[in-house]
Amino acid sequence: MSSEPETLRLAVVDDELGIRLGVTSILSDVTVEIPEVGSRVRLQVSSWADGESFLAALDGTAPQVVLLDSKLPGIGGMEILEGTLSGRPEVVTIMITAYATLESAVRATKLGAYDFLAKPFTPEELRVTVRKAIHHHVLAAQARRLMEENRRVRFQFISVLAHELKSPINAVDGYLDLIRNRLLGDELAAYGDMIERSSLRIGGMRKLINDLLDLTRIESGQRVRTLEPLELAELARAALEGQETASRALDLAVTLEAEPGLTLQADRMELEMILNNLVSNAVKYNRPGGRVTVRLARRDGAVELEVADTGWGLSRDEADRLFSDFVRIKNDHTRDIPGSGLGLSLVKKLCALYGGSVTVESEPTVGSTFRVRLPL
Amino acid sequence: MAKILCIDDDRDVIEFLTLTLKAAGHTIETAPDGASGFQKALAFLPDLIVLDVMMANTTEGVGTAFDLRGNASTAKTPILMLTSINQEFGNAFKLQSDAKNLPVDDFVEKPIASKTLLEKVNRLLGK
Repeated sequence: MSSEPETLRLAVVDDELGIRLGVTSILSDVTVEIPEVGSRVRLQVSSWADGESFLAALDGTAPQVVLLDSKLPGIGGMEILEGTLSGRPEVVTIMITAYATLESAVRATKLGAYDFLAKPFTPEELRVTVRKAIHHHVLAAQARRLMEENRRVRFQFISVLAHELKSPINAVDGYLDLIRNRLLGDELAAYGDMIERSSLRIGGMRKLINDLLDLTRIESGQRVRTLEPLELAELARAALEGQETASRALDLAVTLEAEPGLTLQADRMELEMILNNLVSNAVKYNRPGGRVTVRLARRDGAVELEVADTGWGLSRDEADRLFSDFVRIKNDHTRDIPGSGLGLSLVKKLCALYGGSVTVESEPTVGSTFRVRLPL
Repeated sequence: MAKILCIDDDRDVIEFLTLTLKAAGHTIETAPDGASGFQKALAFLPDLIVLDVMMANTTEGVGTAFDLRGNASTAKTPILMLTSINQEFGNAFKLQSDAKNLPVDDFVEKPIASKTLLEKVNRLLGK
């Protein structure tokens, strides 16, 4: 709980001096705790005898909470609510009604008032209603912030995705331009490298689209998951076999150390995605003649899967960023290795589905060990 | 013929630029990111720099353009910036170089056509 309370502005608009003075004195020492967001709120109360002067001051420092009398000498409270406050969702309005008629309460609520107080009200009724309104204001503000943040993250994701999808198209377009213009003469053989690279880039793009679909399916919860007891050593062996050509090309020594009979209740495709991503990273980011070691063991009520490589490793800062969308560590050793930048983000989300985790320990120039823990 | 430095993090774009510009008789150096590109520019002292805007982050090339402008050895070297701004924001968008916001001399939109590239390169080299 934060020690320094946040101050919210509350305006009371009422032509009765007694109400203005009463409200000000009752609310001036009210503190509201909002445990959901760990904050504490005090009030700074201002009071207005008529709607016109309240509206004139509104554009300076707007209050977060307004106690608004429905019947005022000039412009009425309902009009202020309808004409001005209903367009400001960040201001919470409590309507003060002279008569506790259902009609005026319903009307005020329809116009966007959060609550109402019927005159005459007791100090306790006032405190309870205002506390509720403050609570609402703080949580609604928090929700607005989160929505804004979500929009921002989503926009960022789409921008990076667009760039990642366009890069291979631009590369292939460039090669096609050179081929079309016969830059290297009329012999097709001269263009072999360009064609090879184009096909590689298209393959990378296909991988990105597939990873993106996997990611979307997992995040949306749309895919039907089938949980069944899975033999982990068998899945790990299959993942290593899938990388056999690539690991042979780099002359890697591959070992699997698995506790026998280790099974986990899980979805086959999800576990395959975890294993395939980690194993293929360990292979492709390795150095020639290096090692890939996969270990499977039971530890503290969980399955622990370790995938260790002898690649170039990561700095602390790189390791911290690694599990986010589209993060790829680009340096002279990794620049030309194809990857979607989504694999580890996918692994992290999959582990979370099982209440598990993925972490990395790495030493630059020595190698990295990725450790997945999945509760049994 | 001219000395041209190409800075882009996409090796296939670099390959395209190198093949195209070499075929036109130029001498080419390349760099895969802004920082090493800047260092190479100081050593190679090119007649022209072809610079990608979006590398490790969305505006890395802009920072590099400022670094190049800020150094006496490269302050006057023409910069041709590679962008995908029209793909990004629609064809209505016109880029303008601006000493304060984007100190480059001209732009080439990706995907790059070799003909357009050579025209712009020749113009910037004063031919």
